Amino acid sequence: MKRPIYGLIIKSLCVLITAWLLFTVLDRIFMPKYVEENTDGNVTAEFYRADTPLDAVFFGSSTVYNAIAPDKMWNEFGFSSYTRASASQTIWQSYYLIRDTVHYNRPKLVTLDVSFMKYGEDFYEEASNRKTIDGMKLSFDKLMCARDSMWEEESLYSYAFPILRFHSRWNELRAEDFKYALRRPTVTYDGFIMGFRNDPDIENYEVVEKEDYSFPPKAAEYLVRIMEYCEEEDIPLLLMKTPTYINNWFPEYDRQLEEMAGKYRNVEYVNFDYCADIIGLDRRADYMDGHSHLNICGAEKFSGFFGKYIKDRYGLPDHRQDDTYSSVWNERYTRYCIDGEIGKAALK
Amino acid sequence: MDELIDILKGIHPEVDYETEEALIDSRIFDSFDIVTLVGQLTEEYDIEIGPEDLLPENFNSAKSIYELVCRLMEE
Amino acid sequence: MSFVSFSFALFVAAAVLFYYLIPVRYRYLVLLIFSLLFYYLACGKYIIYILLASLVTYISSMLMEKEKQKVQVLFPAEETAADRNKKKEAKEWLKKRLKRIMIIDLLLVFGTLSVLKYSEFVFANINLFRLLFFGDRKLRGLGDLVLPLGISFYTFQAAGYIIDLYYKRIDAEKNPFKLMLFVTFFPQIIQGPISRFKDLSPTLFAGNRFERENIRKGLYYILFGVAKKLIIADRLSLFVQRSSAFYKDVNGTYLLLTILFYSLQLYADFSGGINITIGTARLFGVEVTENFARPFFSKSVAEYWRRWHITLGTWFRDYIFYPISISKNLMNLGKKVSRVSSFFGKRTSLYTATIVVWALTGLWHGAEWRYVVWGLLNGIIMCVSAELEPLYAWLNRKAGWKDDSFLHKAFSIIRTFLIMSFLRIFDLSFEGIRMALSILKRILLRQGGITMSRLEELGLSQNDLIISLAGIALLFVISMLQRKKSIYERLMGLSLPCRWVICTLSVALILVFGYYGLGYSGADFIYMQF
Repeated sequence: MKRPIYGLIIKSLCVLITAWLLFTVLDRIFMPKYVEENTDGNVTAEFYRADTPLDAVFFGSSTVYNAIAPDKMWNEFGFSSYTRASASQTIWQSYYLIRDTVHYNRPKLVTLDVSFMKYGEDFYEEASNRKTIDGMKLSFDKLMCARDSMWEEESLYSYAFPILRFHSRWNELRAEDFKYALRRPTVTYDGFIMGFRNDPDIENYEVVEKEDYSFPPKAAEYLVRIMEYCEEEDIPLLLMKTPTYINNWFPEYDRQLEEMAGKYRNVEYVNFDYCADIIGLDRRADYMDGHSHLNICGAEKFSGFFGKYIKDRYGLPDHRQDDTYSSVWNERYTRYCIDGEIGKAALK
Repeated sequence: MDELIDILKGIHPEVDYETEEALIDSRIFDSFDIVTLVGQLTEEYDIEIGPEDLLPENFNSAKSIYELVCRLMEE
Repeated sequence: MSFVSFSFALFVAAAVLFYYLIPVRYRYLVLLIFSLLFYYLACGKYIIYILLASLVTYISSMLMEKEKQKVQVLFPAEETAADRNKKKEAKEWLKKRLKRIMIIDLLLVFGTLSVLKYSEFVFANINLFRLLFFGDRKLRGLGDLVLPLGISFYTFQAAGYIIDLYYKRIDAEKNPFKLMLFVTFFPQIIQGPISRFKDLSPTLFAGNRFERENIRKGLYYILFGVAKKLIIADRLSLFVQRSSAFYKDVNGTYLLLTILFYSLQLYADFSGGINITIGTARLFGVEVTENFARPFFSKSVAEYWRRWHITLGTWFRDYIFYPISISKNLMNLGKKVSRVSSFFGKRTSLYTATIVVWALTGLWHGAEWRYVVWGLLNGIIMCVSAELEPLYAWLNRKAGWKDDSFLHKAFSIIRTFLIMSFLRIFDLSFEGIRMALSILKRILLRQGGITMSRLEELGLSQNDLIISLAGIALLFVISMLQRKKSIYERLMGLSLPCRWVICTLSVALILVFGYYGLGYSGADFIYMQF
């Protein structure tokens, strides 16, 4: 009587394993690799490659991954960090990414860029959903993140099994898809993406006044959840605004954010727009993409300022004398310098 | 019986009715043939064949058709 | 809940799990509960219709059963055995009683179907009539009625049960829950097949024991069905829809391609769905009748209809065609005609019944005149080809063609496929008969060139075309292989590793080449910049 049951269990297991293998192989081949272009698609995933504990992790949209360079800050201040930002990262995505981050590599400080507080329920870009979420390891948080970010036509299953979304790429597969199927090379600089363009023309962007400056409910709700989560986990949270030159930010936002942050013990809000002159950002040389992002020059200036601010404010440690850290981070800094110089030379 | 075979030959001359036992099951007779056959049987033997008699087992061989006709003639 | 969806897969998995966990004698209840749940999830409150249909069927069957018992009291067995007249009297008495119940039952179930499905059609025609003869069109009809899921299928199945009872082909089911399960069984509610009580009930009601063979066969069937639907049917459907919608803007060659692809799409979709139905039922050990027998290999229209949607064809044959064609009235009419012309006399009942059946078959497919025309054309072609048979035989003899030569067979098969594809123009022409005629005219008179870019505009990119054709070729090969032995038996004849590889490959092919997901509706995003 017992034998057939065992046989059945073993066979079912074999079926499950085969199915799992099949899905894994197909997922790996068909998912976009973001190696030769759109490297920002790898920011979420490369976080898991931080080989040391992290002191700070930075969240937010593309303005953040173009502005904060962890390798540069390592060299100057000696703390380890990662920029886990992604294109159009919404506040609810930040929430789940923060949870995921704390779960895998609990940082001493979390910072969140608030540019996306302006966007609520009706903000939707499938591509950025994919770039933000696909890199997360499968977990409850990942699925919840997908659920909260999805549009009607999307399917939650396709986040658990990306082949269901990307199978239509069968006629676009290129060599890199197979080459990097098993392991992708590291393409970001601990989450930092170097920008090698600039906007030399000074345009005066039009200020479009709004009638209502309150944040959309979904964004506000998730910001509260983030603040509560950090309070619960006892991790200080810095809400910040990366400097940009497009005039779509209003003092009304600052006021509301200060008020919200004020309700929590370990949350504060700083708008670095107002520090642009102290930092020494040059409108002609340090910006790109219509002055909405910092390029590599701007990023180095900002990282110097920002790194010093958080080091002093939050007492982040200096690991430069610690071999376990320096063996990893010095190598990263070297890579960052080489690639950065090559790019900067091309920029000039 | 011979009379019946003649009728059957009139519908499908190529079949050997002495041996064939799956007129319906192997689709030699289609529904048109069945209706034609029923029409001729009712006329020839003055019997009444109802839809309830139209079962494959009643029409699969000349013998079973013959038995059906005999049974209906008795009634 | 679509057959090809994760929710359906989970639903079935849950049902299978519960089915085999519950003691054998209650297993049918699991099927009933899940069937009702399935219907409720799909239709919400409209579940009332199918419940009422089950109830009416059950009450009628019990009333009939009562009459059958009554006849034994009124006419005791000793009396009827001795006296043949008495026996006949008893039979007549019972028949009359049963007939009355059957007619009331059929009026109720078909009445519901007619009101829900056909009232709009009837009112539209009355209004047309009034417009033509009285110059007004006042009747408003009943408004938009919701057509409950699967009503055409379950109504026919329930009606077949009652008619079978009347002909005493089966015994009534005394357990109302079992009967309700027969009417509502979820795998076949969406698109049939229309099962017979005699065929379905043994495995449906028995608590089937867990057998690996059933699970395996079920999964293979489902896999095959999903492949047909996802790789071929869904891929062609956009093109068929669009090019028929823009029939005025494309030349006849596109339209010819459309109707050929439509035939294939319909087959892949419908037979694939039936594969899924049979496979799903099989997971519970329930055996559902096959509905297709490689129809595109038919050599005549009549044969085609014995191999396509088999259960609908046999339903019409057994419950409409036979009763009408051998009814006393028609037989007598035939005799009367015979006095004038024996040629027509012989054919009166046959052809009258054929025409009636095919007009009804047309109406079954949809409440519009174009379906009636489509059905009638099918019937007429069958009558004509029956008449032409001697001519064909004579031609073949003269030309020295052999009936079973390859060329002759191939010719007949292609001819039948083309006839069926052309008839389907009526099915495709959603605007009505005029559109059908216009498409036909374009196909016959306006042939022209085809360009890949135009095909892509119509929803069929080069890649889609390649995959569809490859899929169709594969399907063709599989059909050829099925000639002697079912593909499932062939697979089982292979060694385990072989089967394993084939299965894994099939799943991979479906995953990669299936036509589903955002990639096929949204723009591809990877090149978007931020």
